Amino acid sequence: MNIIRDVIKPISKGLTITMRHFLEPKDTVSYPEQRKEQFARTRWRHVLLRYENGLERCIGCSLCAGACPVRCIYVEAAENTDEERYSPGERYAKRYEINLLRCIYCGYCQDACPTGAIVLREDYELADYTRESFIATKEMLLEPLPVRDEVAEAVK
Amino acid sequence: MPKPKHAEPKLVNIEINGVPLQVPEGELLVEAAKRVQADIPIFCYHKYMAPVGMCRMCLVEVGYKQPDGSVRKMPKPQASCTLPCTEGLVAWTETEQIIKDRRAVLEFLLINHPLDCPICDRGGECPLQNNTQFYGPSTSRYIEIKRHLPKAFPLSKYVALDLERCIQCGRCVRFTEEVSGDAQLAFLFRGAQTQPHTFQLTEFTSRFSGNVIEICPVGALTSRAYRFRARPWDITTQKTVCTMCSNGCTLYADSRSGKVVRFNARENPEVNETWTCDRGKFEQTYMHAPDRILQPMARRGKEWEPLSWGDAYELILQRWGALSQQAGGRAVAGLAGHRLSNESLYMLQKLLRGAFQTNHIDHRFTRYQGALIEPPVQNEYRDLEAASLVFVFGSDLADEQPMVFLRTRKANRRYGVACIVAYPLENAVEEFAAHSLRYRAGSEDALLKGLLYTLLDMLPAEQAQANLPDAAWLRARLADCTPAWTQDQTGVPTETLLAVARQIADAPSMLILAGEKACDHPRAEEVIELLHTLNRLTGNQAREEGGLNLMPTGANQQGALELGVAPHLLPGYAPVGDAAARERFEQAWRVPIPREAGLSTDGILQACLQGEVQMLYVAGADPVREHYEPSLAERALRACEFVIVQDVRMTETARYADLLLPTCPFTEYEGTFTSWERRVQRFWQAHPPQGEAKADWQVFAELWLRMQRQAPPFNAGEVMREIAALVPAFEPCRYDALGEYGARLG
Ligand code: SF4
Ligand code: SF4
Ligand code: SF4
Ligand code: FES
Repeated sequence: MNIIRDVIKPISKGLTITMRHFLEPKDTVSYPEQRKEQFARTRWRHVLLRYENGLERCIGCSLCAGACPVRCIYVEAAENTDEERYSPGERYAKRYEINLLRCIYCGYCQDACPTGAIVLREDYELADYTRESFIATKEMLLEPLPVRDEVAEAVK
Repeated sequence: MPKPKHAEPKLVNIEINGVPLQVPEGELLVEAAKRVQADIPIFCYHKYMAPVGMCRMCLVEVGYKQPDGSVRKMPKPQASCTLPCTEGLVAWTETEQIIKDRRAVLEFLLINHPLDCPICDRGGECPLQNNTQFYGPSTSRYIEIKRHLPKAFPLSKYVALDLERCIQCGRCVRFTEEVSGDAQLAFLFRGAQTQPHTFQLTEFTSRFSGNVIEICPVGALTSRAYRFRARPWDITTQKTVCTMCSNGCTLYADSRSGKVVRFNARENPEVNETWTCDRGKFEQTYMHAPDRILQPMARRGKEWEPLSWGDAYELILQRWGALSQQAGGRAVAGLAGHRLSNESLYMLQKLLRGAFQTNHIDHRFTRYQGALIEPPVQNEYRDLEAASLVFVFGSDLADEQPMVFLRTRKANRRYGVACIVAYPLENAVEEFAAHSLRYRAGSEDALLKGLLYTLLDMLPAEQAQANLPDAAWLRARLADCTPAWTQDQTGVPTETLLAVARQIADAPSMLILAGEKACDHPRAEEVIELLHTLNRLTGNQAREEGGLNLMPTGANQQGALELGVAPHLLPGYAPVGDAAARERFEQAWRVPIPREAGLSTDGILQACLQGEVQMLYVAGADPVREHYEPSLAERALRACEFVIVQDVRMTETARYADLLLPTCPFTEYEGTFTSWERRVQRFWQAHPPQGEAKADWQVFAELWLRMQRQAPPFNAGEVMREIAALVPAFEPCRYDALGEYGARLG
């Protein structure tokens, strides 16, 4: 057996590949300290948007529920009053729930929505311990109220 | 079978889209087109109202066959909803011209129509949406600002009006004029400002206001109760029958997440056409009442102790075990309510007669509890249109019998049927009645006597004799009841009485609708006997389109009588005393039946007071509320040792119960009801039962199993099969044979 031909050469050849990759830029990030940026049109967990003035976009029309191929959206509507206004116009969603276990993240709800209220965004961290916690309620889905500039100033 | 009055019209030959067909002369083209499945979009036309041709949606091209065989086309398209078919008519519904015209009509309507479909309660089931989808332009050329008008204006307690959405089809206005007759809605203003409203912008107070919601082809009129509660794709629809009165209107129950969110009318040309009253549509909410009984409960002192069904049955059996040793069946009695299905009523009387060995069973809480031997109603809805005269006696018809009222009004308007009403107070029939007899309350008997006296005078003697063999005796009995005496007793002027008698004497047929004032009269026996005499004297007893109807009020009150929930009757009006009839049932049930007639409601309550009845089974009834003398019912319930109350919710009566059993309201099980005209109609389960509630028939069947050790029926259809096998009148009511519109008994 030739030591050089049969042992050293193959080993160094293999190690060269290893070394080459060692020096290349890396794809792996150390999650959860680091996170990758998502593509602009990623469809993960839904968000219920608001208008700039803070009113909810959702009018509780149930069109998303009608479009959903797995029927995982439940909408209960109610009437806006001048004292208690959630959205522009007459109607708002009193209850809005999505069963995320059933959802197939197809985005049909987003397509169906006449006001652009429900959108699928980049929050992909959906693991949880109980089945119940996969029912996303309106409170969980709704965008936080925008903080107005003066308020933000004052807080500073 | 059609009654002779409206003979089959002659047929004419027409052609639609090249398909030749024969239709009755005068049938509207829009209806004829349905026969060849040619779809003509409409807005203002409604099958049960007169056509007006207001919206122009239904345009078609029309021509007429000439003697030489050529077709002469009309130069302009015609509205098919106002065009009656005549010999040689040729129509085209899908030509290029028509497609263009439809698009234009829709574009025009949409100019002023807001695009708020996503929040509109009509969205998803809206004729305007559908027609636009199928026939309209795909985009709009209208970029100007739309008109703005008040939204969700509360027009009545039940109806909200959104003026922006109205397309001025006039259906709602015509409904109040033509159908309900209160004529409360009208068009105000002109042109683009035209709007339907009440005249003085007052509240819309019709008894039938809910119908305008259903006939409005857009979302201009919507239900305030249903507002924003569901979209059409959220709900499941089930066929059902109304339980608010005896008229048997067929409905759709729409439910969402196990709750009924609304009732809509279901078409039945024999009964409610496409209408309902507001009570049926909006007030029928008891199935979701907060005081529903959800599990069996026994009284322990002041507390209620929850039980399992098994323990509840055990408790009943224990009680019965002790009782049967001493008093036996005599000490048990049953009272049934008017909302139990036919199957439940049959099973209840079978249980009481067969297992508890008692005939003490009744469903009547009015003063008239006589021993009827034949059906107290003679007619059906279509007789109202075939008769020459309808005599409404002692009934606020629009309130007691809403659908009978609508059909009577239609008979009057459409077929010229005359109407006479006798009622102490102002009432809705007066609007179209030829005469109104406003007598002093309580003087019904005097009025009838006066009327009979006058009629005996007016009718030719031989005719009176032929119709009523004991006419001479009657004449002698009523010798003092002159018109002057009648005026004195009842306050009805002599001239009115004479005019009414004249009209009755001259009428070829008369249909009497007797209401609560007759059946709940302190001297009800006599009043009813006088009504029968009037019916016989005028010869209407024997006529098909005439007759006497003692109108039931409860949804299935008629069914209770048909199915032997009466102390003296077995199912099918078979007298308990009749050995042959009894034997038939004994053989089928494999138990002996007590041979003596039992006690009626009043008798049962008295017997409770005297301690003779020690176990009272109240199923679906609320004697404390329904009995004409609530205090008697209350005392009796208190005195009775063991009271079983089986009901949907905590009624007044339930407070006196020793054992409470939860049962299903009509939306939670399936079965049949019998309406006033003896029409048996099916209803289906619309949503699952709440709590541990069971259908009434099932509870009786399970008790029957425990007491008789016989295989019980497993579903309502089997109960009906058993009924049909025993009572020939129910033969057409087997579930596999019972049609969409139900079947009449006998
Ligand atoms: S993404 Fe698709 S499956 Fe998920 S809620 Fe929307 S429509 Fe339904
Ligand atoms: S409210 Fe409705 S039914 Fe009445 S006219 Fe307007 S569109 Fe027609
Ligand atoms: S008329 Fe009677 S049966 Fe018809 S909807 Fe009204 S309450 Fe119900
Ligand atoms: S449906 Fe014929 S004109 Fe309206």
